Amino acid sequence: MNYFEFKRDFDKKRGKLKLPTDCHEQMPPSVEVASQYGWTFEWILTFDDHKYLRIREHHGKIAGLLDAVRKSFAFHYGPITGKDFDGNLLWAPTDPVEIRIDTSPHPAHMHFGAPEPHIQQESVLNLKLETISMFIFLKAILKHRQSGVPINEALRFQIKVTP
Amino acid sequence: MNAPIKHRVKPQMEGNVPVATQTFLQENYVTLEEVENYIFRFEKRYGVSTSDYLKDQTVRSRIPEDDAFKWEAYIDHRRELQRISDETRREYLSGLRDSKSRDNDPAADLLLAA
Repeated sequence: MNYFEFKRDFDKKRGKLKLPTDCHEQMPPSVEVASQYGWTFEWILTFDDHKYLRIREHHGKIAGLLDAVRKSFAFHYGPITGKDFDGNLLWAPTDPVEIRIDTSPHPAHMHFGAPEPHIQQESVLNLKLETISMFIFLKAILKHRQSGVPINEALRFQIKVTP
Repeated sequence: MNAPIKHRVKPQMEGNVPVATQTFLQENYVTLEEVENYIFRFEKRYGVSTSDYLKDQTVRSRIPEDDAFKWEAYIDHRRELQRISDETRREYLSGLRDSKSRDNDPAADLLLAA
């Protein structure tokens, strides 16, 4: 997918999305573009109950091909723990989290209910962490907030309990 | 807290031809110089070169995830912008060579005269 395809797809999905009235764009969907084969996306939504959702993706060129792939990402939902002087949200790895799926470090893993442990793909059933899309994540969080459905049910995954 | 921002995407048409369209995205096209400057700031902040950061897992694990994400994204952007810069230079130079060879070609002179 190149940048123009990403942009078209994002605009289409964002156009269909209705954000609830308690949801605000702390940072509108923003993108730093190096070329049609390299861009970094960020979007921060805050909620009136002092929670926030942050989406970050970096896409880069596939060597030898005129095409790009998502190389890293972080989808985060949890309580706001602080803001800096300019009103930007502060974040630390030890902050409480409801759910975070990220690739830092690779491979994609999940934090669920707490910053630790890093839950690896083999312990997550029915959800492919590496390929999850931002809108699937976002819609699940909105569903969870609106209906009270647990996040794991909204995203339809289970955590495998190891003895 | 910021007020919600309302966007609308409306394709613009000139006759039947779509022209520049509005987007939900705030786009910032970065240059090689800007990207190098961002990378330099990370190197300065953490007192480590980019190559050491990439090579040394212990250095890498000390960097907060947010900054690691941005740093690596800029490294990737730099690679891509350098690739484009090299490609542009190569095409320009090959264009110069082509025009020189045309200058020395008598057939090209005849063609020009015609």
